[in-house]
Amino acid sequence: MNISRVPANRRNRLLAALQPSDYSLLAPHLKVTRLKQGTVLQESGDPIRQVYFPESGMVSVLAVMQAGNGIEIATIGREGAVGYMAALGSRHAAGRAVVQVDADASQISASNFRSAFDQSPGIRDLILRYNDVQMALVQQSAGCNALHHVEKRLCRWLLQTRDRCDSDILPLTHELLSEMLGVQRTTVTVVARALQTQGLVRYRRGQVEIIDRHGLEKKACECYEVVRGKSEEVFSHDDH
Amino acid sequence: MITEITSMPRYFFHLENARPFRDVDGLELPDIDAAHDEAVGLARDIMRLEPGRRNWSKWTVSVTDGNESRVLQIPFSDVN
Repeated sequence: MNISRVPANRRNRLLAALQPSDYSLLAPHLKVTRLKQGTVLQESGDPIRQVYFPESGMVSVLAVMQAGNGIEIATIGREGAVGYMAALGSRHAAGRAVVQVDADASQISASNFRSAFDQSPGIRDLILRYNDVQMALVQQSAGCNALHHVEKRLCRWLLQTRDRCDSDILPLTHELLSEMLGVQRTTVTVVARALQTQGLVRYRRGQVEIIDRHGLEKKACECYEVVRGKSEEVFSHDDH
Repeated sequence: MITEITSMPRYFFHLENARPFRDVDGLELPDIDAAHDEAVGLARDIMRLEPGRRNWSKWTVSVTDGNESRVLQIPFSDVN
């Protein structure tokens, strides 16, 4: 991770939603950092030391089982934050946070973030609202992972990632997709081929290209729309 | 001392049933035991994805190596 002292900009939507006086409590402590695909920002059970506000890219949070296998329970992009729970009193990370798509982010230590949260009703209000939405989204994920067919879940995942990357060409390996979806790599091969045969995607090693976005939307489970709508609720209260 | 770097063998996982699936991508795995685990996992995933279907007796995962010789054949009915 490359940390520079360049002042953080406010492409992250949580930071952008703050009043200037609230933002000024965080600004002196924020560092811009580049997060590379595959980097583990937080290991399940470890102390939360840093809070990240992505400005681009995507981070996944995984529930990890004792056998080492896991499944994705949340994705975080420029609408969110990783490790924000530190401000709510969580000392240890509940899940593993992994960078899925290269990201720029603003980073702040958990202790500096906590003290800004304690001082500012504006920050508190925003983070509590964000937390509410996150809890709802994690519940949606739990239902989706248990009840929805892996083909529909893959469609949702590709669309979600597309929105975050703002590109139809997604740098995703089968290995990564199998971890996200909680299935074998070979199962991803079978399902991705089915989508390719239907003319929805084209995949090569390490890359999935979306050919028919509308078709994917029709095929995806309801969670794509639910998550998209729900994520906006954090910001719909704001006048600015 | 020269350290020899050997690449892992690639295995291909095919589904044999009414709607066959031929794997052209394959997967690099350390050995045949890992290929066996992957094949069993694939069969489990597919059965889990279609809980309504009771009869899997005609379904098989067949694993070939890079020379297209079959190294494993696992009927779904052997997987629980």
